[in-house]
Amino acid sequence: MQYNTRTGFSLIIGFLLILSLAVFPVAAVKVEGAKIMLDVKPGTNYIFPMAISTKPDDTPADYAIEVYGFGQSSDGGSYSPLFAADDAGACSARGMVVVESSLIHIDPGQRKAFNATIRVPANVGDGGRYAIIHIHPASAGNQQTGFATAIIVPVMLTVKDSKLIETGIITGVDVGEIVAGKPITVSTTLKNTGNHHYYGVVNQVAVTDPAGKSVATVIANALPNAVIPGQSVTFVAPVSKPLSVGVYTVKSTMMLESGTVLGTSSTSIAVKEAYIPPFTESGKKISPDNQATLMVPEGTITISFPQGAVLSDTMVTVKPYTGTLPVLPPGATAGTTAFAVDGLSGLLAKDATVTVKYTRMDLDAAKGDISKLVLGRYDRSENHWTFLPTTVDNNAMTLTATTNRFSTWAVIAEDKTQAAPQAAEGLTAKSPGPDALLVSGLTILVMMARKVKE
Amino acid sequence: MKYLYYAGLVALMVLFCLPAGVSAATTDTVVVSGSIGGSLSVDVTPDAGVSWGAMSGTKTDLTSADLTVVTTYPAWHVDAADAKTTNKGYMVDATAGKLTNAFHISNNGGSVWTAMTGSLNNFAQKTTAGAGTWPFDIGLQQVISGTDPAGSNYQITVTFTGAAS
Repeated sequence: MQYNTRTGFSLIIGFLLILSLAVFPVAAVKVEGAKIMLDVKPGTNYIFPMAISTKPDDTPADYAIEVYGFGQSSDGGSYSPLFAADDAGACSARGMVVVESSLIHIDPGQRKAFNATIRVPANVGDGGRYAIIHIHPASAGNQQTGFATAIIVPVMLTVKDSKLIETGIITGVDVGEIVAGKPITVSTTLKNTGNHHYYGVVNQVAVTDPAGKSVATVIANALPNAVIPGQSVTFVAPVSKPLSVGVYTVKSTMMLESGTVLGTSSTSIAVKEAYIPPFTESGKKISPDNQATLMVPEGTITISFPQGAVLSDTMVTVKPYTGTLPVLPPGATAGTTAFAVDGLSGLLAKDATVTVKYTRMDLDAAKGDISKLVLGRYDRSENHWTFLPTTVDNNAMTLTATTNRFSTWAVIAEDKTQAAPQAAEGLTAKSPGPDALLVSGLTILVMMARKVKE
Repeated sequence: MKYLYYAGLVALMVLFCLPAGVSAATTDTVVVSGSIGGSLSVDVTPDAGVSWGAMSGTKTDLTSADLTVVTTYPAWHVDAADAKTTNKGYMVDATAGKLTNAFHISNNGGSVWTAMTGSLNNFAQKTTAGAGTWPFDIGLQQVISGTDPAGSNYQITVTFTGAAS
């Protein structure tokens, strides 16, 4: 017995010791000197001081500090580490950057300083040189859903008094599917063909009709990230202008904020049926004392709030839903009309009335059977669809339903021969239906009757 | 001997008194700055992660996890990804293997979910005037299929990587 107790204590102490020594990825990291941007002289070494720290309540952690080539995601131009095998460009500084230690142990709340040394060869050449210092957890986590944090330190060196070339080429212009109620996405890919990075690239997309008349011009916001030599970044510009049937020319122009044009490229698109763009995002302040109606300028969505629907002044917005809808239940098909209503976190005190104009493509989803169309509401927090009792107006082409809550909405074609997720407002998949309540009630009555008999 | 000792001491004191700014030495080595300029901090809570207990149905959590970025840089971005290469984007149990459906995260309150089989670039981003403290909600979602084998220890670690632009 004594042996068993001693063994037990030893095991517990051993376990606690292992726990105290364990190193987990820490969900907080701070890096000082998180961007190295220098004008450098050939044949010179540069010492750049950096530091890494964590919070006092963090667990001990090991952080790896590694030098990579400078990569970029085509989607948005995020900076990413590039392995040596993929980093063969003349503008790589991977071999020029050395950190003191490739592994740093950080105790809770500790700050550790270290240096990054940049050795610029005498024959470095012209333009810019690029690398990434990746500071990341050295070990994997063991939580069910765990978090880790990492920092990418961009190293951007410009060789002093050298010839800087800032040029680019458009390698592709692609136009996405043309769907009523969704923006037409024009994706333009720009490759930096020069020897130096540039910031603030702007994508201008112009759409002209068959007669050469301009019908839409979109100027996207300037890219906040630099475009690095050898890297390609795709810029997405949404076009939301009505287009009648015809063939259109889409011209993309990539330029710097200074106005310098890096490249232009064109493609054509065929619009086979009149294109209806998404409605304009709209908002309205709803007050408890007054009835209010929120209607988008295009008139396709109207939400009527009765007096007393909200308990305090609330700003409600309605905007097009352009993402992929959550998975629908079996037998249901989404039309193209989808929108999100934000601003209301709880339930309404009185039901609001939602009226939506359905499109021909919504009707296509129902295979032309208008009786199948309903308004569907996806409750993000409860994570399920509710199909609302919906009134269809054939003449006005509208669907109307009442609701006491808002979230993501869509026009749904519901195959009523299959089990629906919910058929009535206020009932959820987890709630017992009227039949279940009736059966439960009868069961209780029978049990009470037996009790009385006894 | 004593003379040499004092000379060395004086030389050391002179070294300590050198200004901390940019200084070029005869060896062509430049110390860029004596004090470190910008900083970037990425913090995700809760530190212990989020536990969902038994895995069944659809697990959605829009409120438990938060990202906080504290920085002096005006433009920056934070990407989110599963760092592992095998079964990237899936919750994995050492015995039962991976779940059928990928793990998803959302940066807009659950309006749009992104599978962690890829990365969610610009989960958080500031393009101008980004210096300061910025909190963001993290939405988490895992759909469990009826065919997924029972496993007591399905796990995933999502790494949030920050970078100054």
